[in-house]
Amino acid sequence: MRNLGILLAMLCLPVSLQANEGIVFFEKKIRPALEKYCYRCHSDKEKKIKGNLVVDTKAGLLQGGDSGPAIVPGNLSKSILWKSITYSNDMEMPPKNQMPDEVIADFKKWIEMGAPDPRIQDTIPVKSTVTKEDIEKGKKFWSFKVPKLVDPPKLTNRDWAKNDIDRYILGTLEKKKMAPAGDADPNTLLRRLTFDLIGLPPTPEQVENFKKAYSKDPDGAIDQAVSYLLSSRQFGERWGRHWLDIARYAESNGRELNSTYPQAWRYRDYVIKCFNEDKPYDRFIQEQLAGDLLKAYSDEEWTQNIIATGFLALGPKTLTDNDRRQFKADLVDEQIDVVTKGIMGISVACARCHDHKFDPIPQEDYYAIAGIFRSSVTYYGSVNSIQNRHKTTLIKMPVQDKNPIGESLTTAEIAKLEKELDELRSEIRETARESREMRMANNERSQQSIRDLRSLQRQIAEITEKLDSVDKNGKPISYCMGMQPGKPTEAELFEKGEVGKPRQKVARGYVQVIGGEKKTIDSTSNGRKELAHWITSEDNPLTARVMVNNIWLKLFGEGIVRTPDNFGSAGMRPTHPELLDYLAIEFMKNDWSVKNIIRQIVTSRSYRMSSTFNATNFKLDPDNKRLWRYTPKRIDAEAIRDAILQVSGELDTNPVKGSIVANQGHIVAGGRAFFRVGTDAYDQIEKYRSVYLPVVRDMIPSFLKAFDFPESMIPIPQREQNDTPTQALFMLNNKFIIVHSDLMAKKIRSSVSNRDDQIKRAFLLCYGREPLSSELSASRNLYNSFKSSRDLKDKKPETKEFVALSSICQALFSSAEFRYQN
Amino acid sequence: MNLYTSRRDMLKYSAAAAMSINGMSVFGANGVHNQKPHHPAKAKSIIFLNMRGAPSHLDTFDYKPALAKNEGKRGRYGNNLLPSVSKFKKCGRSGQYISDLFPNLQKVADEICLLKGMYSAQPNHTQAQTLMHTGNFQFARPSLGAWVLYGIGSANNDIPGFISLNPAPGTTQHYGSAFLPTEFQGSSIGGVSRGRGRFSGSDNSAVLPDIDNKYISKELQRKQVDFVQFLNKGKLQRERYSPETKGVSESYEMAYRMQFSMPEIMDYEKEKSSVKKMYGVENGATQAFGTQLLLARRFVEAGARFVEVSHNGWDHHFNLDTALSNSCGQIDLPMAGLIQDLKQRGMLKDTLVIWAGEFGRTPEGQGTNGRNHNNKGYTTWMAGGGVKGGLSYGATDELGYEAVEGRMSTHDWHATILHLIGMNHEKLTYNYAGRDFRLTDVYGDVAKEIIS
Repeated sequence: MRNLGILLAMLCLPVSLQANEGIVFFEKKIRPALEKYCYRCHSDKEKKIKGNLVVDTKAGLLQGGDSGPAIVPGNLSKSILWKSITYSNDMEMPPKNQMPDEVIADFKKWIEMGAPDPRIQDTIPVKSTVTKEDIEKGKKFWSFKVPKLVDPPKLTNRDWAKNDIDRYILGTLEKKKMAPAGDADPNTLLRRLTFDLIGLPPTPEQVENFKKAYSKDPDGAIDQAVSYLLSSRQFGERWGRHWLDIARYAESNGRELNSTYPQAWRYRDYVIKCFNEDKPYDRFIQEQLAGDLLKAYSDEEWTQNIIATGFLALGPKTLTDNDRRQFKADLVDEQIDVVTKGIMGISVACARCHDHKFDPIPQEDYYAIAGIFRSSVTYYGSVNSIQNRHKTTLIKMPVQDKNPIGESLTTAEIAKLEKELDELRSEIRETARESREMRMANNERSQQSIRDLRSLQRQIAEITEKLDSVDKNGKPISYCMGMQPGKPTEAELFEKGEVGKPRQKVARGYVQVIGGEKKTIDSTSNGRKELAHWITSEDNPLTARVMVNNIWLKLFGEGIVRTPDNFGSAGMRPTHPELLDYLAIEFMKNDWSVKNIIRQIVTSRSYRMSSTFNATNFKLDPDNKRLWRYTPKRIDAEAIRDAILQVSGELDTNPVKGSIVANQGHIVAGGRAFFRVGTDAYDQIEKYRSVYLPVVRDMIPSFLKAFDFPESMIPIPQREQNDTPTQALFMLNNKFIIVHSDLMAKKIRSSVSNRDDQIKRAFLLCYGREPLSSELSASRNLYNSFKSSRDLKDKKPETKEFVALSSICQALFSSAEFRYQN
Repeated sequence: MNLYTSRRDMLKYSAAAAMSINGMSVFGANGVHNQKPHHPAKAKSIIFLNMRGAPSHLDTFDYKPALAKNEGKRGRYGNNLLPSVSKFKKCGRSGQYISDLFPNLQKVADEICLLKGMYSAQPNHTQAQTLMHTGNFQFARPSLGAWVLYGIGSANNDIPGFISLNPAPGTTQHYGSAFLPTEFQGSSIGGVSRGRGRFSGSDNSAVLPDIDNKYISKELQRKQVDFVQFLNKGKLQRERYSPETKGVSESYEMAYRMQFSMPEIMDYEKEKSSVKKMYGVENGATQAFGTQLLLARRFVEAGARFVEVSHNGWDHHFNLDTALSNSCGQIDLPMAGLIQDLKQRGMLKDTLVIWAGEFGRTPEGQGTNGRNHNNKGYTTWMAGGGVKGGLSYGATDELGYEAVEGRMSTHDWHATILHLIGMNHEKLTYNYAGRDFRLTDVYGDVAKEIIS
């Protein structure tokens, strides 16, 4: 063995000699030149690094700055550094005086000999405080163990349970000698089902039919209603929206320079479609993480798969960030966060700067996953602007839209633009040269020339984008956001999360403490497919649990784990651990069918419980953790708006093609162009379902914003539920509310003429029930106050009656019963 | 017992807190209802003047004669040292230096406590602004104003307790409540959110949407609200226990009152013309900022706890001399007016005025007439609210690169602000996702030296 070692060493000798020669050359000629001419602006030791290029490390030169790699060893013509020092591009370096000819010749020799460079930084690896034992111990934590089926407990009450879900629920209650609430009445039940499954109230006719059927056969009536609702197209619009909360879906990057994402809606439509088709959840996740890498059997499928990866692309971003490394690190960080927190309920992003404080997740685990995302390129587009330092292109869709969105160009227009572009390009070369001269001469007008340059750059970018947006015949090209594989890379661990402190490289991999099938990621592989496989493998203890918990919480208001985005040790423990595991196993067993789990839950006796208060139970369990009744819950923002549209007879249930944001191309939200079209007011004008309203970060339509629509910056499995004065002011004074109260009154008056019947109809439409006698008489009083009022501008009795009925409709919209579901 | 922890205030506060929480006992158990001052407070409200873009400390409040002496010499980062573009004057009895770009502020120098040893961990605007507002540049955390409101509660149930006037796009997090209940979130007026547009005295429809019903009289609306409340009450009686219904009911009462209180406060036209003059409300350059400062005072007077006013355009990489002088000209008179006005009303002693950008700028030039970012040393100031006026606390090195004395990080600054309102930053915690969170995380020292 030893001999072999010597032999190998000897074989290597000539090579290392050669290398040494290069190093000597570097130390003698190149290092001093770099120090003398370049360090001042391009050294990591300096505060300001121009063009994001550092030349004081080997990696810095090879990685390059804003313009790309500075050096391609052995290739002069591809080395930007060479072009710059020879003044043969527009980045003449050093800017004031060219290097002496002999130094330039040294650089030529050096690059041609392969740019030998000994300046490989010794990195001191950051050591983790999390030991192997910690991780092994951590695997015993409840949520890191695979779900296990435990038979439901033996029950005293044998008649109550309809399915296994009920057996687990009742078992917990009986242990504490608590009784479940009785069944809700059919009105309440149908309202609950319709809002929960499709996000709309039942029509009075549906209520009538359901009541009839329910009186004969409650189970049958429920089954039938559930089947109908699950197969309705509205189902995907409702449950797709729930997923969009987790996917922090939005149509702009948020933050400063808030650029729109005109292609984001494709992802929205993809999600709605998946929920309607009941795409197996594991496949749904795989497509979103690695759709571009999955085998597709048709171009249509391929297109959908790429659109799915928009999930990773549409996060918030600080496009104005001057630091490219920081931006890239933040981009990847955001992807890690949405994937781990959103899908697995565990925040791995906490380990970006240090070992996770609560769970045994060492910092290296974070960088193992970071490497996976660093091996891909994220395409999100964004606006043309000097301030935008991180614009990307988009992905051309394999199957183009039949009716593409966007402007067409005639061939004459294309030719004209191309000519303009040529002219601008020569102009910018000239201006750049003049500007440089002025700067060297410290001419006062140099500031102006810089501004001129920027304006020219912008014009060029605008025209280029216009030309790129159409094919050669001038027809708009369909693009989408998403992911494409890049160069497989291992991420460097950043000490304290600081991009300026790269330490050891970390092999791509997974979170150690979380189980699941972990395929080796070989050096040529992109890694996202393996990641998706791990997350959706049946041994992954979190994915199925987190999803069934999310489904449960949308139906009951609270999850079985009440911290749906934290299944770690800092999160809450499940209130019904056996039920959670039962549901997770059922979910996987039934091909990860979301509809199946929803059906099981909503046909259970537990879901059928009334919300009736019970003082004894309340004392024992004020938070209703054991589920002794159905907890009333606030209807979501979208459902409130859609319900108002439906009862006023205005709702347009057709899906919307594209989005208002799509029609305008890339623009800055908040800019003049944006306000001219008033995007934030579309909730007032449009009559379609709220899921299709534009979701521009920071510009959430006011209706939705008032009712706790999320900011769409992070995954939100559970929305807030607040009752605020802003909501009250909205209901009392907003034009949308007043207009739709009027429309509802008009509709009622055209079908019913008697005052009391009109009032009854209004109650039935809004509440799904008739008014109580006290409510009827209070309504009459309000009606008469308006009718006899001298305050109204229009004195005609007929108008007064109309306004009186409208004011009742508005009051019903405003009341607690309208926005709460019992 | 001091003024703002009176029983009456506590009751109001409890009602406000109860309204937001929908009876979820997770908050009740947390002690929100019983939040008490940790020590006697100096200030009962805060006006925060946010200078977005990072004003140069070297041309405003941090006088560096050595810069002029070393003019043109090569600085630490390779550019030539750039002397201040303005002259400085020794002001007031205290004799602290303030730039001639602030001729009016110079007159109230004795009220101002300059914090000259500030430093920030973040060198970029976005991150540094977020850090300054929330104590964390990376994760969504509650804003300073939300913590303040969470700590001391609202003093007037008819108006929001935390108001952000004219916030910039992309900054909702700066007045957000993150995981604190939304009751503590700031309400934005003007700026980019709902209700863009100018603040204009009597007509506030542009900045206060839905504050008024154009179709029916207030009398008729009251009848309508009574009917809504009748429906709510019936539901509450039928269900016996329904905190959410109660929450909805209370929101209508507050909303109804806000229809009167908010336009009333926003209508600054009623102010005496001498007062409007102090703020420069009618003068072109100072109109926008002056109006907002006057509104800030009116909100604080009405009981708001935290009012933030944003002023943009301090990122002077170029044209430092003219651009800085313009920016200063827009804020100088209004700021001096605010301090004088608060003083003459006896409000300055318990209103803390804070002036701060996210960091400072380099002693060396960027080109010949600009300065680059410098987060290692800069100046902010406070006035009123229990800080020592006329004090210069802390210092940067001779040229103004780095804070060397009385160093104050963003966390120290937060700790000091919370201290002034009677809150111990280590005890003001909120339990979220199983952990007690603080504005200052695990850091922060109170600068006791500046407290009177």
